[in-house]
Amino acid sequence: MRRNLFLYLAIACFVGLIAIFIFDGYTGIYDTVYIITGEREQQIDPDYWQNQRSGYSYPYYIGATAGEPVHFRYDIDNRRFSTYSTTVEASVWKSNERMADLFSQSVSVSAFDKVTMEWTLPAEMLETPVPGVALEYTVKIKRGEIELGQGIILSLFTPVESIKIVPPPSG
Amino acid sequence: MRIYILYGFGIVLCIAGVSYLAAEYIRYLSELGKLACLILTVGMFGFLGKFFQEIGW
Repeated sequence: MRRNLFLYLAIACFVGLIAIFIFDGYTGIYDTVYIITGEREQQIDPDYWQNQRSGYSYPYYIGATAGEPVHFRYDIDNRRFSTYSTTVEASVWKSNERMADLFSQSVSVSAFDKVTMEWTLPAEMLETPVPGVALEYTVKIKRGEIELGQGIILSLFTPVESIKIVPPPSG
Repeated sequence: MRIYILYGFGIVLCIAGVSYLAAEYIRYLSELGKLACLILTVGMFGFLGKFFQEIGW
């Protein structure tokens, strides 16, 4: 009887471990960023931002066509039992210097609820690169004191169609 | 004899699979969750050890 008790306790510990994995893995604050450039929408999942915090820190690269605005959508998913209040800020950087603020808002997310924010990076704010050369900008998103990864690097390029080939002068 | 080799192979695969999943999932746990997991793991192996001791292994 006594030996079975030890076995049951060991099984209870194992069940507790699995329960923690499921429950604790599910709860927390989750960030999802959607970026729309041209006709394409790219989704950066919460897994990506969480991996950044656990050591694999590298920026997210995205290509965009010069002269077109870049739209951002940011979801905060509060999977906790309490309301989560914070300030969300988005800014655009070039060569480690802040160029402009894109978005700033205080948000309050109820328990097990989600909030969505949207902003646009206007094309006029960015320089048009010389054809064949990509210009890079960094869009940084901050949720309270937490910065999402190392930012999103926006690689701007001028489409090939806009390059005019000038024939050499005859004669 | 062959059946024991297969058993051993199966056990090793199970342990490897569970270890891989644990290593993947632990990254998403909070500090408190990690601590609770550590305590429960120690408890589990401790109780298993006592169980095997009781049955005379």
